[in-house]
Amino acid sequence: MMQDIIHQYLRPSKKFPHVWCPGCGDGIVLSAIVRAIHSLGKSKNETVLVSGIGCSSRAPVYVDFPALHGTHGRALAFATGIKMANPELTVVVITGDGDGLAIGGNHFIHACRRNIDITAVVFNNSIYGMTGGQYSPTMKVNDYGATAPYGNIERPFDVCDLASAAGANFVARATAYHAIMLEKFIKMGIAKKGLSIIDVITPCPTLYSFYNKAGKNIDMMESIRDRTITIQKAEQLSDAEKEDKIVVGIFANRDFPEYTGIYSDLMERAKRSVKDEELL
Amino acid sequence: MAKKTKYLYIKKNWCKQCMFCVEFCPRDVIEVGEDGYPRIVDITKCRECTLCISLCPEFAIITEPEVTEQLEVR
Ligand SMILES: Cc1ncc(C[n+]2csc(CCOP(=O)(O)OP(=O)(O)O)c2C)c(N)n1
Ligand code: SF4
Ligand code: SF4
Ligand code: SF4
Repeated sequence: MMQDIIHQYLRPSKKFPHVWCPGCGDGIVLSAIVRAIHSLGKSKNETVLVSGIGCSSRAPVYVDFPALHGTHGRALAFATGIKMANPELTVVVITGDGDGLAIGGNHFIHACRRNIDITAVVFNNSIYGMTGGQYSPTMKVNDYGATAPYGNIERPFDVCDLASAAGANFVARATAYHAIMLEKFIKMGIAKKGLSIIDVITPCPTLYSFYNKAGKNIDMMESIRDRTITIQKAEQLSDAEKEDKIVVGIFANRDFPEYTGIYSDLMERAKRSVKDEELL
Repeated sequence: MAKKTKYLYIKKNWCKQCMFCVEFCPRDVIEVGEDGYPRIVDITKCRECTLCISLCPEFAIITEPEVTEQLEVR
């Protein structure tokens, strides 16, 4: 029979149901993260969840792992500190598109550039949920938000292109609807040495839907499902045809040197050169 | 090892009635009950694909009787 996993990890002190709106994708993504960690056989004590601020960043509050619910935009910076001090820990970052790509955009590209062994899951709903529906750097052109009443005029980041160009070892995209694919990509990301970015397209049926008349819970989920195509399929389409599509799959899977490893080599070299000097 | 019998339980006091489980179950195992909450209509049709539990944002679908018992107080 199917194994009950998420319930083994819920924080005993927390009240449920959680705070997220009905039909919000955040709970789905959180349970995929927990199943991925579980399936890798990682114990609670060797895994740390780190988040910033936002609806999505509340996720670590609900599960019983050591966690740091930090300040807005700084999840990857805190996670870098944790990983540098304790390279043996598995560090998983939970961040929103606002948290990770707007205020935290610089930390994002530099974490990718350093290729430090952390897995970051971007809960990408293209809006600031927690603060009332302002547009985020992943919102599509002509979508609406509280700060884009006439339609968004800024082109969005493609999270996967950005992460790949900046140097992350593992880059993939899934959606909250494709929860089983999502679990698989998170698992691959955690197993991979180096920085892993998992971009997850997830519904905000409250604020995104309000500003974009995107319908109720099921409408948003169906829209995500129906717009999703694979990388192979996307290669056959023109830019115009791809405009509204969600391209899922693995965008990068490679083995650039990882930062904590390079750093520990540096420490060795530094110690050796100090010793050499002492001999003089 | 004997195969355990199929089991699914909807914890109504956690469910927020998004109806993802009802809508997306490929086997129509779950439907909307008279009280407006999902209910299991025919567990024998379930092929244990795990989609409903993966798509439940509320962790409200339980797959083991012992867990249902443990969570009763929450
Ligand atoms: C330094 C700072 N600036 C601004 C805020 C206000 N703030 C809180 S959450 C948030 C955006 C959240 O958006 P996102 O990360 O996409 O998460 P979501 O709520 O959509 O899951 C902002 C701007 C803050 N808490 N701290
Ligand atoms: S406002 Fe949007 S992102 Fe925030 S909990 Fe509600 S549905 Fe989820
Ligand atoms: S998916 Fe979960 S929260 Fe949604 S209706 Fe089903 S049991 Fe309730
Ligand atoms: S496990 Fe699959 S077949 Fe069974 S009730 Fe859930 S969604 Fe339906």
